[in-house]
Amino acid sequence: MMNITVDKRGTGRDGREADQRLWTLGRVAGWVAATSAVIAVAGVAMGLLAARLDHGTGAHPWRERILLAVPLVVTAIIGGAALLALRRSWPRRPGPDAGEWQHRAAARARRTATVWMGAVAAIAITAIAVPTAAWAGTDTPAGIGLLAIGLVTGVVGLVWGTVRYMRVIDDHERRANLYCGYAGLSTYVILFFVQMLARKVIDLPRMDDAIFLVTSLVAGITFCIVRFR
Amino acid sequence: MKNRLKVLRAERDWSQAELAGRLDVSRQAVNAIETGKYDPSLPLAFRIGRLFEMPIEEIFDDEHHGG
Repeated sequence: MMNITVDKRGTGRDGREADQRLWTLGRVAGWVAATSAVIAVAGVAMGLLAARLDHGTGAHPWRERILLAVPLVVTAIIGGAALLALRRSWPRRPGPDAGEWQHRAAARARRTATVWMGAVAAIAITAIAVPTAAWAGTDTPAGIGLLAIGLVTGVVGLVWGTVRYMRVIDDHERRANLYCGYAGLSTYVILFFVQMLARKVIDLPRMDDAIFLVTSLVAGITFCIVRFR
Repeated sequence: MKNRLKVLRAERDWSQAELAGRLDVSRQAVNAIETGKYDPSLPLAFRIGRLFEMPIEEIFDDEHHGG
């Protein structure tokens, strides 16, 4: 019989049963988050394309319909791959013969994954609710309600996710976050001043979207290099 | 900072994942410490010392210390 000790993280017998219930909840939250994120990305992509077509760039109705379906298909493929990866990489529940360290490691991985999924779900809900509210019109009760739900969920989810995340990660991941923040901030400041100077010299349009994208990419790549190398 | 973590782990026939589980950190953190890419914080260094039942200075080698 395996000797189970109870520590302050609650990985003893009582804690283990609670943990097993959390396994199911965490997995469901993960699926909801991933599916919502896929829907949100597809919705945003289709909305952007529809807005572009509304401005008269589409010449033929059949072509417009095909173009509208492209983001959905691409997102479905990427989303399917992401869901498959999530299913394969989700922390596995240790078997009955697993030692205490395996339960601790699995519990740690699950806590981190659950926080990530919670944050993704909050962002996804916001990404769905806010554009839908804009579409419904913010002068209607439904639009105002959706807008409030989206903003509150986004803010609460991000604040809660950040606080929880910083508590569950280890020193190494905290260091990755430090490097990622430093790289992102440096990139943003440099690109912002380059744009500002360039706009004074030549008639350059504002490129805030591109700066945001590059900053996010640099921060994300830096995090992955430091965290996973 | 050089360290004997890999040797100590091998002596006990532990995998990186097992050591990570015992220290409550990620496997990548153990790998980064072993390869010298990352120096652990003081609390983690104490946990490592307690786990191997050795003083910290017997596990980690301060190369800058002239002696």
